[in-house]
Amino acid sequence: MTSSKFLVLGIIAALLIAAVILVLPDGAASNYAEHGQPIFMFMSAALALSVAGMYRGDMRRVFLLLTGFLFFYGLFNISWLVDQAFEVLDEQFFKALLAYQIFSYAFLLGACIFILRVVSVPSLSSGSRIAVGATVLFGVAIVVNSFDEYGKILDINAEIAVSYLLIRIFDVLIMAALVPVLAMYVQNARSQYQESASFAVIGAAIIASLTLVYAYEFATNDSLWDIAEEEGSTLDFLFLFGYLSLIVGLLVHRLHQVISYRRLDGVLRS
Amino acid sequence: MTQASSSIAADRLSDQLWARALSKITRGPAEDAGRATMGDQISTFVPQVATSLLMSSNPAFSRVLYAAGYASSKRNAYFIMRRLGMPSDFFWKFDIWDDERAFTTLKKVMDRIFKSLMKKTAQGDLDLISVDVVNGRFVVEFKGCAECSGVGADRSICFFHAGMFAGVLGAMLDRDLDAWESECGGSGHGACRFVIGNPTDREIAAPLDDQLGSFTIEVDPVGMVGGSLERLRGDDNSGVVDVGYYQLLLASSVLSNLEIGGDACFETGARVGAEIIPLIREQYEGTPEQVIESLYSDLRYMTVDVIPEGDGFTVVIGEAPEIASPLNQAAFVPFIAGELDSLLEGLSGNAVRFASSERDGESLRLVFVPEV
Repeated sequence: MTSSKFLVLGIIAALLIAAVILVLPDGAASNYAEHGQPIFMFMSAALALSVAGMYRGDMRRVFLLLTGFLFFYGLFNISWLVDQAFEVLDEQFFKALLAYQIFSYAFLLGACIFILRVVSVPSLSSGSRIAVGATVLFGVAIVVNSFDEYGKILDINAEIAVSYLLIRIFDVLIMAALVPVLAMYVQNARSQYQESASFAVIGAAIIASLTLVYAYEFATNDSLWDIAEEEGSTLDFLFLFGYLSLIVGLLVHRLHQVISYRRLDGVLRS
Repeated sequence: MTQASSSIAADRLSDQLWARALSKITRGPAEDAGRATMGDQISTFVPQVATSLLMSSNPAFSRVLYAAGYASSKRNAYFIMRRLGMPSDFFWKFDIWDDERAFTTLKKVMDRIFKSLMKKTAQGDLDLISVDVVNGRFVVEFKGCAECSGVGADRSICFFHAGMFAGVLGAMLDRDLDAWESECGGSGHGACRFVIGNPTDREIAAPLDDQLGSFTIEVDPVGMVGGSLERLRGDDNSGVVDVGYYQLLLASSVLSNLEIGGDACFETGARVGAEIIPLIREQYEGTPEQVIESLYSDLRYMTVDVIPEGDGFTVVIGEAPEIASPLNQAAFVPFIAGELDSLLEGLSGNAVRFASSERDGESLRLVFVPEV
């Protein structure tokens, strides 16, 4: 079996494991989402740490920073911890949330910078430019789409409203930073006749994890508050799928040599 | 044939020989050399004496050997990796792997493919000794090297394998590499050792340039053939190499330059023939025809039928690596012709000269006429 096949099978398995949430009864589905999301994020963090050990220099830094991001993002997914923080911080919660977001995204941004140092691509191809352009448009739409809600919150609490808007803006900015990096990586891989698809899956899964909620917001026309109340929903399924895909991408990246080496036994005499 | 077209033909032959070697380590039927009587192995003396004498008469031949080993192995190792299903990104970002992972993974793949290949073709026992990822340097050891073992040289002489290992590693890691031989089994070390690295690395370029640049070698064909016969009779199978190795040497380093190098090969063969006459007189009994036939048979080189014709001779040779598939040289086998010329003259006492060669089915008919 090739790594690419392993990756495809892994993603299909991720899809099936995530889809379980759609058939579970409400309570069980909500439990699954509540526990599954942080567990999968921590598993990703552990795998990213293990991948970091495979490299040195900038590539090691990329995966160490990714480990940091996944760990803190995983913490953010522990609902009782967030509820606890909300109770303790009360009105300061959204400010703290913003600070936490900036803190965890700093890891991701750092990883992007080090990827760019590893992947030396002088300019974006036309396909990549279209992808980046589409991302920027999507980002603008995400921010514009929040103006109504922002206005409503502003009438109640200005600080919360600003935090609400800034959280979105930071999500959009990090997405806008990730997409060209991923595009450059894919360009670089193609120019070198390489096919390390696992890395692309990792990047895509991270982008998806950050932006799925906004895509869902567009698709359903629900507000974020309503979406946050839903448990065991299609959105949870999408998040679980994104996190599991991240695990699959990291796992295949970690096992690429092992999987490929096994093929030799199939064709060589013992 | 132009130089360019003969070079392409030589590349095609060396590719076929690599494919044949590969069939020996892959599942499924292995291709043999098509030598029903002589088998797939040949005395190491045959390739050794040809290359070392060519180097002693032309110091630039070491560069030809190095370049030939590098080009044919780099091209073919790449195809071998793909053919065995190794993805092109197997060693993705190798230059930023940590040393332990780099060493373990590279050794594992090298052992599974190229060590097996070297072993199956009896060229030697290849081992990766160390990897220095930061400086891009590698050390490999090669025990029982078919290129030098038993030669008794006073310096490093394994240029073909130096090029070959640089090419193999270069193909695996998708980069250009060079190699120089830090220790040579032929000059008394237990094994050959090659240091491989970036062509711009002074630690690689300077010693390699030094080894290729000022080359002198003293060759003792008598000692070599004597030692080889002794080893072959000792039944320990240590003095043989896969015939494909000799064919690869010929295809990649001699055939593409045949128009220029043919005379040198003839002279080299003649020199070997002349020098070993006392030894084979001592070791063999019988008529010149019987002695020659037995010598080549013992060396597992070729089947020979020497037919006296007046004061001259017709020699029908079969299964010689030069005429066996895929080389199929139709008319020009300068090394054999030169060697036979000296042997026939020395053993029979008749002054003869090589007159012509003609393909006769699977055999080659060489005609030696009396010297006027």
